[in-house]
Amino acid sequence: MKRPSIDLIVLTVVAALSAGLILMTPEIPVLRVISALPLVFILPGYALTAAFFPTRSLDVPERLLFSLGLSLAVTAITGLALHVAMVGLQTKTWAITLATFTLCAGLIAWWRQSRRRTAPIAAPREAPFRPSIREGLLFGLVILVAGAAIYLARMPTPPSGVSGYTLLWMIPANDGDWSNFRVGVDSKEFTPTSYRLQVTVDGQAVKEWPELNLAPGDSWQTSIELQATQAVSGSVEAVLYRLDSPDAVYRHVKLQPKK
Amino acid sequence: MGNIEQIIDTIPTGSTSARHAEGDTRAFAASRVDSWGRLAVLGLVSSIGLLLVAVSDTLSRSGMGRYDLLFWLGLITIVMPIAARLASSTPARRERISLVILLGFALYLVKVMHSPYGFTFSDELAHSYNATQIVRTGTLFTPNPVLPVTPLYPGLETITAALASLSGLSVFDAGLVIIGVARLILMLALFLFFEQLSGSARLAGIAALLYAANANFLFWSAQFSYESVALPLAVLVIFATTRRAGADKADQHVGLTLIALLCIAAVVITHHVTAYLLAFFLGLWALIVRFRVHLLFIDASRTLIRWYAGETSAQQISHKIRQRLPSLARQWTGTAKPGIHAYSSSHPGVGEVALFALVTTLAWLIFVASPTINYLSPVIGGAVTSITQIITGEQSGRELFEAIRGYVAPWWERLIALGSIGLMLLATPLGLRRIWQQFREHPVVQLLMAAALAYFVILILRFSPAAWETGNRASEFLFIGLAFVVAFAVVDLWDSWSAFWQSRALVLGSIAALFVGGVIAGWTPYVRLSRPLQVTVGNVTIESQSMTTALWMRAVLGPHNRVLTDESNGRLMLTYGDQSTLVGRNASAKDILGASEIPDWLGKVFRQRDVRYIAVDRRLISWDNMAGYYFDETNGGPVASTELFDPGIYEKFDALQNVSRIYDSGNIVIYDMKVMTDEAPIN
Repeated sequence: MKRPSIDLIVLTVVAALSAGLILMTPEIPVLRVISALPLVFILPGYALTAAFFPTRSLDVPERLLFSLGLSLAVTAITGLALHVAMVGLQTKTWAITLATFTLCAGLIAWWRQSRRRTAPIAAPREAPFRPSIREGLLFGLVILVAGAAIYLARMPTPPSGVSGYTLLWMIPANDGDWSNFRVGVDSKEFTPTSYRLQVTVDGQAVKEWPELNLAPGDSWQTSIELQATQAVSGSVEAVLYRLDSPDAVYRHVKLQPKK
Repeated sequence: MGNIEQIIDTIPTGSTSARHAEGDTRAFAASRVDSWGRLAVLGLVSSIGLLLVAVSDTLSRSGMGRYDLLFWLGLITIVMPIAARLASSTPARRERISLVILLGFALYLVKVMHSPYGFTFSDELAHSYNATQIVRTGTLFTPNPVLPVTPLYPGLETITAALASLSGLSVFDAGLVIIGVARLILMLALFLFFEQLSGSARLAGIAALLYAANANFLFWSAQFSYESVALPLAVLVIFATTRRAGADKADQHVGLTLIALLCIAAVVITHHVTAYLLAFFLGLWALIVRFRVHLLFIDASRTLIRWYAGETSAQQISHKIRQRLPSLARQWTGTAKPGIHAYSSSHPGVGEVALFALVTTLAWLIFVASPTINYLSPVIGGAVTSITQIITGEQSGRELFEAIRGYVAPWWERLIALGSIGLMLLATPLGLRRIWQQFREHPVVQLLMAAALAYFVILILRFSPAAWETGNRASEFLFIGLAFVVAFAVVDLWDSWSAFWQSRALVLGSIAALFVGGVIAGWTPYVRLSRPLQVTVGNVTIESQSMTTALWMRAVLGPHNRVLTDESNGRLMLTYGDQSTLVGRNASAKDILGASEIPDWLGKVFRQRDVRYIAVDRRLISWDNMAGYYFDETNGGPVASTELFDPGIYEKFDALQNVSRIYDSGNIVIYDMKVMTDEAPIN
């Protein structure tokens, strides 16, 4: 048997290393991302392409296209196979399956290459990518400007031209329990806001918070437990007022037990 | 260098000898041409274009006004320099390929910058939910209540789940990377496919560029949706099959066939319509190769004309058909005369690949995804009915460029959109003529020509309210043919007018008009620029009301509650709130929420579908699954009453006994319907 070509050796090492890193260092996000990308997008397809074309008769764009396309196809079909086999689509199964697939396809590629008595047919040679200093600078600028564009697009925007709002909610603490409630107010206003909250049972006020001060993004919630004498026959209602407009009902919610 | 490229570009292909010549010339050229040309400069120009788009998006999202002109300027800055370079005869093949990829990727980034924080397109939200469920449960086919057919085609979501599980990225980030890779595959596959057919890297580059002018390229095909992965793989299949037909060596046949079969399998499990169209395309190709269908068609046309002119009788036609049947049978069984068989042997294995595509597509449809029939048949049936009714005058046509949410397309946008179609109509005969002279024998080229013509027929669907979306979606498939045909016209015009730079500017201007016209025709103008999904106050991020409601439901009510609601809130609650939402026609959600009276069958439906909550959004825009997710741009005031439903509609549930109003955010109210769902019918 001939010695495997350098790309197959690299392929094997990278596949094993990627799977190993993903399984053994799950707590290092950067390593996981760097390992996962080739395992999903390049390695299975590249190995298959090498197995399908042992004479290396493809040029670089074709090899790139088939590597990417086959990788996606293999990953999709592998997922289906894992599901049918009831193995589960988990990190471990993905890593082992894709790496094993790559290694097997790489072995087939090596076997097919070594069976050929003649030297591999070289694809049309293309010069390697060696940019000049000027080109290198320009490519650097491309990354810089495109990065600035994406950064700008992701930049948080101020609340201009839009309105803030407030949530009022109330639910029974447990399903069917009409003596315990949870009430909450979430301020999504753009400035600190003061509220008055009143809770009534069958029209009678049982609780009141005359001044709730919430900053933008703040939440407030509490539990209300009714006394036995306050049993609900009609409804429990919570009404929220803004102190800068104290007479207008701002939000209201109403629980109605089954009658 | 230019001479060599010109040699490549003038070689007619379509015959075996031409393909050999092309292969030799390409190898020769490749060994000699090693320049990346203007790639770096054009990359910089494109990134400046991206920056302009980012500025217009940011201004729009910040509520500082719509700067559409800045957006268009950014797009033109990306497209036009690349178009000029690709149209020129000087660049080497590798530069052309790089430019095509650069174009595809830069335009993909335009979509990424449109929704930088999360998925906001309607289909994206459904697919994002599917992918999240796969990551969470480790299994496929988890039901999706909003788009029930999508989990039955889990290709995209499976790949996303793989990347998310392995890398630890979120589904959103993993999805962005996958669609980016799919875009790379699409551009590369298109280039290589067009090059394989024409033998010209220059024509291939221009055709791939023109494909980017289709109405769905900028946004629709760049979204996190099954079609965005299936279409690139389908083009790869067609390229591999075409390449196989032109390959000389047997071992290449095997490799290319296996690639085609694997990718067909991936397409079949990824997207229904793409799989059907791929099988249809390959099937037609196989039929042409086997029966020389195009010649039969020409024969039949001539016979019909003669019959119409009274030169032949029906009996004679019938007699002729009977005479032809045995020879057709011989062609099918492969025992035809050597001449005919030689034609089909020039495309070996196409029939088998087509058969595989057909069998796998049907098998998946029957055994796994049978609900697809119920999903697609109303869409197609509605389109056919609508067109029929428009033709018979029973229905009025759809108004083009109608105002949406107060946005009326300016006159110049309308002009360019219509003008772009006019330009394509003008260029198509020029391209067809050139193709007819050089390539008419090639079955794939014949199919592309047919697709180009079909594109104009499909445009009629845009006048139908029920069919315009079908027509719009079809454009990204048919445009493959149109781009190929129009590319010939561009090359001819560019070369024939080479003495006048003004003429070349006119050609480039036309390409710009095609591109801009496509974007105008393909995407709702109201959401063309980025919209505010979240704002920042100090260090606090505040989400839109719909998004906050979805997040609140997951946090307070817990996951998997059955919620009946509108289109946009339903999608957000599904994806970000992890709720089981019923929207649209599902459980008659639209009828229940949109009526001013509570229907008497409400309790029955709720019990049948086990509905626990109703979420009522008083804003009309909440029914728009493209635009209903964002902050209302009201300049700090309340939403205008013209933008709201009638209070009788959105307040009707307040009057119900035993129904609790548990949540109020101003525009959105949630009602707990447990009592009604559990117990007796409501009065």
